[in-house]
Amino acid sequence: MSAVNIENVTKRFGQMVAVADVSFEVKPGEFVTLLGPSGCGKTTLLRIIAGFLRPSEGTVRIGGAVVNDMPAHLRNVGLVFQSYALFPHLVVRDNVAFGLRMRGVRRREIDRRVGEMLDLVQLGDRALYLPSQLSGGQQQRVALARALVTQPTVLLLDEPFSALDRKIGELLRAELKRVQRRLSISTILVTHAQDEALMLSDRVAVMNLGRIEQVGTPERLYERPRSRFVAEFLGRSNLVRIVQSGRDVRIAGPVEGEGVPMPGTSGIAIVRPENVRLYPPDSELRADRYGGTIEDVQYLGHARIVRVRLDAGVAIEAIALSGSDWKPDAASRVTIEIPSGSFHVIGEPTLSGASELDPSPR
Amino acid sequence: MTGAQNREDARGWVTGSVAVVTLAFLLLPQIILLVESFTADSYLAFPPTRYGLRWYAFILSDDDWLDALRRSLLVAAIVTPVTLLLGLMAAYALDRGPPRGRRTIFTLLIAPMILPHVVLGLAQFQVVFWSHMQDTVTAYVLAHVTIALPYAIITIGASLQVFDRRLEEAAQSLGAAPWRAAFHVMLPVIRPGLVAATIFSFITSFDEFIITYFLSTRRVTVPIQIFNSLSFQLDPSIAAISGLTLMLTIGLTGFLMAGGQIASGGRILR
Repeated sequence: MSAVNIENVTKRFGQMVAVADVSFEVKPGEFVTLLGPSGCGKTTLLRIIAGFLRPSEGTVRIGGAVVNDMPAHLRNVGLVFQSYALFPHLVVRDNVAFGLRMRGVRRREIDRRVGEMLDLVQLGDRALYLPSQLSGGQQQRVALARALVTQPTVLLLDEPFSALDRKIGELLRAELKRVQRRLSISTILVTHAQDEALMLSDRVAVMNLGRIEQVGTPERLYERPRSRFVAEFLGRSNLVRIVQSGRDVRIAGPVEGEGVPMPGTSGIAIVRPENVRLYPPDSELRADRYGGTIEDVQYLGHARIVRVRLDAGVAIEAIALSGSDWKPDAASRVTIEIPSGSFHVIGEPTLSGASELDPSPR
Repeated sequence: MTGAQNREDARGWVTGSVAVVTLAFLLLPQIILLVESFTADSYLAFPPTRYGLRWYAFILSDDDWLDALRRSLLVAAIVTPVTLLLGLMAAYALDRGPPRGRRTIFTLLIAPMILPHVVLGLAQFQVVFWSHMQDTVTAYVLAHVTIALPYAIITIGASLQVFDRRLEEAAQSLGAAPWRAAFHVMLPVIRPGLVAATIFSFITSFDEFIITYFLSTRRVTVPIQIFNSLSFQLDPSIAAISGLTLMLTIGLTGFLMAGGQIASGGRILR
């Protein structure tokens, strides 16, 4: 039995289709992220699961039971908002106790469970503070404790780190993962931040224009994206036309300026920048090496993003880790190497010129 | 000292002076009246030659004044909760209901605030006259609720507008049915608006003169008793009743505001 099961769910607002025929499931204890740009339907889907919106079509199951007609307060889900949504008139302890009080749990039992939960999120010493007396990170930990203390079937997180400073957000992410593993609670995270999705999730569902583009483990999505959208949404990527002969894959030219496919090209592929190796310009030229000129260098501290314009016309991004002897300079010549195995084919060019890259209509 | 600082100082001085003069203009007559109310003389004069509580004792033992005071307090005590409840319901409906016709309904509800009270009074006089409700507490309550309601709707509506509905959603996800989420989360959070509406309603009712004047003949409220007694005699009892009204208003405001503070502080310590 899955914790959450979404079957062919569609949500329309008048003429606008916010969620289009989406299906996926969350297994018990699994951490699934809905990842996508704003307006992709991920928050709408979360609100459908939470019970604040009704699906126009399809079935939502929580813990095996169909909940389409069940009001939010009977669904036993835990919800954490971007804005924390703590009750400002209640101290931390009473915020966390709220769900238990609503369920009529005995006072002694409430005190025990609230105490445990506050210890778990390391806020045992803040029990009598008002939310306004806490920092953003502390408030979000209270919100997490409040959502977890009722032992929900599924924990729903709506962009929980977006309102926090980067550093605090990172700390809280690690803490969330720790708590989630410890309680092995089924979790759905909604976010637009790919690093969060990759770091926290067992599986990620990438959403675009109301549809799920691809579901899979973070590794699978990063290394084997099925569409250009997934490839470009997760990390940096170079998109190129390739020619394939046997095992050898070579860059044939740029993807942009589509329309008529180039004669002899056999597909479109992505190459991740970390798989592009940089060599001095006078290096030996082999089949998997290309000469080019450095167009731009972005210094990131631990590495540099180097954009190279190949003599064949394609721009390729590569990562040069800091600390090596050689320092890439803009406008200088360079040789790059892309092993055949580093190309990941994501689409076949067709005669009509419409590739498989973006199946959803804009 | 630089020129900029000089200009800054001058501007502060001018602003301060204007504020003082304005406040003096607004408050001085009332302060003078308050001082006069503590006179022990038998005539109204400033400053009094002797001080005492003679006139307070007088109005609290005089049948006419006591009768008016009791009636005013009774009416205000009914008007306040009725207005609060109706105002909350109206403001909630305007906030959450369908947007169609919202502006029209809002305008109709707050119209009594804009319409001349003389016209309102005349209109209500006819209704009350035909239904033989002159001199009744019911008539006064209905009239006062009409004019207090706009203030309640506006103040409660303002706090509903800034109320974050995600708080209610959070409460619902924690197992609270919608009405419990409203009761346990929305009402406590919009409390400042409710407190303000309470104060406005009570004061509006207690102070109301024009419409009540149309609806009453013998059984009067405090403002009308003041007016009536003013028309044939000018003794310090008027200053005393005014002082009492003033202190009641200020005291009530202070009490409700302090009550709000104490109640939320008490929650911390509970």
